[in-house]
Amino acid sequence: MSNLVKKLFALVLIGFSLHLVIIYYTPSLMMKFIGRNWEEQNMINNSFARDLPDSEFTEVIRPSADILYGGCAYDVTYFPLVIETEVPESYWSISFFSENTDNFSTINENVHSFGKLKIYLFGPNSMPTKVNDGFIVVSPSNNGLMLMRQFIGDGSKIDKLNEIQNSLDCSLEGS
Amino acid sequence: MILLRRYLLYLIAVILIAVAFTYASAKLYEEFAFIENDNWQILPSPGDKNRDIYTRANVAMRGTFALAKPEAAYFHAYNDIEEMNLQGNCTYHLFGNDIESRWWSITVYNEDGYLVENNEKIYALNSEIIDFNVDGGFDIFLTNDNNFISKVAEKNWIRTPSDESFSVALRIYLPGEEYFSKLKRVDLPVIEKLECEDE
Repeated sequence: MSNLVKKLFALVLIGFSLHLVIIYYTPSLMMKFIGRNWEEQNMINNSFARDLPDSEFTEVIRPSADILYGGCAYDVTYFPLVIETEVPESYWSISFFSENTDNFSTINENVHSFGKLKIYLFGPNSMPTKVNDGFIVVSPSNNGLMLMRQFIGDGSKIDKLNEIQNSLDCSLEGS
Repeated sequence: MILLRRYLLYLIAVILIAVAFTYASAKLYEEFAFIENDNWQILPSPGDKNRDIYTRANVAMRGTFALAKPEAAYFHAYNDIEEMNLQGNCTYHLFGNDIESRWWSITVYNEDGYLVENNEKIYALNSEIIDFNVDGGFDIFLTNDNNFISKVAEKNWIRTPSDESFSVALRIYLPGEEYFSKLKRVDLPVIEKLECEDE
């Protein structure tokens, strides 16, 4: 093989490797981009609530107009996060997204149908203790996002759903 | 200096090659990764933690926080049943049968993927508010034509953008585990063009 061919082959190989790195890190970069203001908005380990999306809403692409969103960004490096909320009669889900945007866990009406709900979210390096009053979720990354979705249906129960959304509480254990 | 220039050229070449691979993979992904079902397309596992790196990157760019199966199925349509782009100057008839699931909805997005501005504040119709026909089916009109809207005001309709292409999302929540094994064959609504303002 001539020197030129070897060099070309090496360049293509390195270029392809760089391409894989770009693809691999794109979700994490998107997560960082979306969360660039979370700290100053006090959304990390604290709950947030969003109004129903409309045409002015550009925080995420293709928002669902039938869902009331709440949630919290999390950092469980040192302590687990405790999430407490009521759940509505209509469809709801609490889903967890790791640093690379994977939906690694979802809790919904199939496992908890009504009343108060408590979830303990642990980081990847912690040893979850047994709990009697809620669900345990282990995040594959220290940082990520929890989203609570509530289906608004015909909109007649929007006040109750807003109330539930405002009852959502996220706090580090012991804080 | 010559050596430095040579390494700089290598660096530029590597970056260009990486960009070319990324561009080509994005195009190929659009072509092959989606399951097609008439005018709809779907990624079989948009939010799953076991998805491949290309799916993860694609979803991060297009939807970011997609739920994993079996929580939800996200179908998107950019074309009508005749495989023509959905255009804001045309009126469309979206019709089909009720979908077995916890709930489902139809949402219209503008070219950029955001909800379409409209005075009526109707961005989507879901299975709890759609007015179903006696036979269990439904009809939804997608239009920006005010004359047409006045004729179907009492029926199901969603406003589309006036002068650009648009897309439609069909979200189905808790359709059951087995639904995901037959995404190519499930019964989905049809989008048919009725008329266009320029025609």
